Amino acid sequence: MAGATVALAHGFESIYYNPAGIAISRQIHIAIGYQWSGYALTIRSPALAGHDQASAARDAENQETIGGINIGAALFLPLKAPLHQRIALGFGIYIPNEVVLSANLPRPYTPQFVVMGNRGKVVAIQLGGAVRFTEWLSIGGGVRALSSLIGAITIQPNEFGTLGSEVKDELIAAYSPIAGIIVTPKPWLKFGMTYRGTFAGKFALPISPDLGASFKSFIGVPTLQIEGVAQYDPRQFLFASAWNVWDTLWIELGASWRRWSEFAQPVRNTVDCIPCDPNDPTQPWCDPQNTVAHCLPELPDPAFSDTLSPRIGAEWTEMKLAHNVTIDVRAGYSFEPTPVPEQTELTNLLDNDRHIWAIGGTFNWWVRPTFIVHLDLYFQHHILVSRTHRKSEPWPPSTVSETEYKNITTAVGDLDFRPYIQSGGSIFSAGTSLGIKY
Amino acid sequence: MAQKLYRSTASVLWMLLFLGIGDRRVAHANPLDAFGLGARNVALGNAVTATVDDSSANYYNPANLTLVRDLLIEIGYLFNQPYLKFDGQDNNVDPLRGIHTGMVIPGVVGPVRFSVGVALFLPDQRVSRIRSIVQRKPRWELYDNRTQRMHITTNGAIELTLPHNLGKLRAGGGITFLTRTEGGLKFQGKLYKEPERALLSTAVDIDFKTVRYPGAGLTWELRDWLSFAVTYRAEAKVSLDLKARVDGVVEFGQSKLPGFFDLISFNTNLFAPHQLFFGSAIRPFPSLLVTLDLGYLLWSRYPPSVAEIEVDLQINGLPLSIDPPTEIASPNFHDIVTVRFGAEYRWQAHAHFLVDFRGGYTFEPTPAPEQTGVTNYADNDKHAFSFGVGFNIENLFKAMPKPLSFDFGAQYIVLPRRDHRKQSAIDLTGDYYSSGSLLTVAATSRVRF
Repeated sequence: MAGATVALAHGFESIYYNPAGIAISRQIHIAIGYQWSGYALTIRSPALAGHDQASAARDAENQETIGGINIGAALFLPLKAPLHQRIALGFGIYIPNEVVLSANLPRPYTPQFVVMGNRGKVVAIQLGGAVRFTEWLSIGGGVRALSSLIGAITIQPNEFGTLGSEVKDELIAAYSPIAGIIVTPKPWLKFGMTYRGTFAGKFALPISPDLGASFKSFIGVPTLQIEGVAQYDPRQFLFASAWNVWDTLWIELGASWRRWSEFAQPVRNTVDCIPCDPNDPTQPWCDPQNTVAHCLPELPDPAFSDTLSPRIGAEWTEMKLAHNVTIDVRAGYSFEPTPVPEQTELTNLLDNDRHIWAIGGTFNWWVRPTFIVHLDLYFQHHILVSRTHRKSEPWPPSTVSETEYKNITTAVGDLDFRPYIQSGGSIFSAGTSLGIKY
Repeated sequence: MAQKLYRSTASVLWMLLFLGIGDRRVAHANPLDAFGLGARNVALGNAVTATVDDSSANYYNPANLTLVRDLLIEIGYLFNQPYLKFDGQDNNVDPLRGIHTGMVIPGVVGPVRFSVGVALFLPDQRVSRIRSIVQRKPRWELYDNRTQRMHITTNGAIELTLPHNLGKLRAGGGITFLTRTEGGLKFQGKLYKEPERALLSTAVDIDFKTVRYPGAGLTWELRDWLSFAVTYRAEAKVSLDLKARVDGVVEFGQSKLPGFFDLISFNTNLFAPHQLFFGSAIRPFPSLLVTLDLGYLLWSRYPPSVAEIEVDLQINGLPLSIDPPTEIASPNFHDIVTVRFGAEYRWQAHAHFLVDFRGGYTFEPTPAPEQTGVTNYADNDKHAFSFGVGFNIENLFKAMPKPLSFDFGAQYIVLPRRDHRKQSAIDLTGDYYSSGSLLTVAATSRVRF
């Protein structure tokens, strides 16, 4: 339904879409499934042939396919009156193939799909609960959990003149809240609203390599600051309303607002900038007019903007196929505008507006009136609207000095993509799940 | 009368059998192996392979998930304070504290009873920690780092009633999850003799990959007062494998020399050995439960927990040399056998109020040899004494008629003094002895619906 399941949320999936939906179904629901996403992204520029960044652009285009298992359950606590069928709990776990968290960040300034890259390559553990206060009001809440990494690697010679190393690598749990409400003022009308907090997986792993006195007398390697944000979802509000237009056919119309303007640069400079001292005789290279001339400038603010995304979905449930088999069919559409501004200067953070189409269905096998085995299938297609980023003239842009530009290109490589760089493509996603309700 | 005599005789034979076999050995590598999961199990000395009946069955014996007849939700807390010493000086090993929680969802399809469950232990401070220090530095190999990690396990189980009055057979299995770190860092730019002048950019490609390892269990409940069980937990290894490559130009005087150096750091950490536990439980009287577990742990496959490094340098024109990496010595751990003993007495204080008194003892020999060479992987034999109490209350609230349980447990582990005498008279660490104790307390509440 292209995510248009805020007012129509039910089952364990509602832990993500709207936790209040956990309290809508009145059965125990357990399911296990698999979902897959594939990318067909393109980057074009007349300057790309033979360019320093041609391989970086190819890497950005060739995003790995992503697959993962999802497991979930939702259940009403079988309490007696007055709490009978009032309180429900649920959990959902998405485990990508092999990967718990992926930190795949290209060099700053190089072409990269900053919003779509890495998405889906993180374990998502979600726990929630909901209370159905009345027949028309359900409120739910929960947390999404993920990991951040902190650590350090130190390499240095020991007393015997051989190299030893100390390694520290800690995964820290980080949590993000999620809350939702579903109001059903009439049997044919529902309203839903969901809030999701910022979801950020960070990492910090400084490396201090001391390769011995002989090496140091020729080459100085500073502490290498490996730090950034591996995964990021902004804060978001989702709101929707749904109508029962005919028989068991429901249509949902809604929108989501995402606070992308809080997104900061996902990486930092590798070497800390320490101003030099022009009076220090060991620093004859120090420029007295500019004591940070030997450094890379701070990375620019990505200046993302907030987005508002409309979506519509329809679900037709319990159509009888055989005496004990019913099917549900679903379809949806949403439009996701890009939060990324046009890349006219040195950075090449690529992202596009997306049209998202989705279809899906469920086969329900009623083993007994109170025991259902179900099989879900879905397919989703994201169409990235082709986008052209026209580079500024003259080059380099006036926002960086000649020295800064020289330092940046020394560290990163050529960044001249004039007259433009263009991005587009498609994303495909499909999935299935098998579950029971009883 | 004949039935009572049969049961008493069986009880005595059972004790003789297991006490005869169970002459030694146990050890641990993760928080659950080291200190247990759930206050009841801690109090029973973790001798619960045949009798565990809550969400901790996900760890001890997945087959016993089917002993849970109602929807069960648990939450608890565990705190462990180590007092570990070298030469009588406290080593300030980090305490471990964290929440444990679990859920079991039972069901019935025809003649088959089934359950699915999940259990989680989440340390307060971190999900997992890999810390590798140089091999010369003395450390408590099994407590310094290995207990500092999250444990999440999910399992399913079925129960069948056997024909010919042979009792019930339960089988279960599932997966436990860990993460390992793997990836590469690519640096590019220009280096000078002065490190502060370096102009470098970084591309990061690090994955925290899932490590899944299986576990399975089988329980045979011959009578409602006599059970036997076996549990297998597979070996788990967590590695940190990082490759860093610096590619670019070295500016030395007037020369600009292209080149690169590769740095590879590889470390295996958070090792848990293959484990096979045999458990048995008997109720000589309806109110008394006695349990005995034997475990075999394959510690001989223990890898060095020290980071290995490899450096490859290629810059033509500079007479560079790099200090060679330290040679990593094998830890030479050996397999061990463990014995665990537990007892629980139930007192009915009131029609709706039951009190359980529990006690246990465990002996765990160390898998580590005496540290006579360059390594200092210190570990000692362990005697663990435990006790606890549980309260079961029925009909506490009108809306919740099923019993509520509150369990409390404590375990005191004594590590008798062990001497480590160095073969070399000029060893930088020298002779030392290791000794200490660990105190664990745990509380768990169980809610049935």
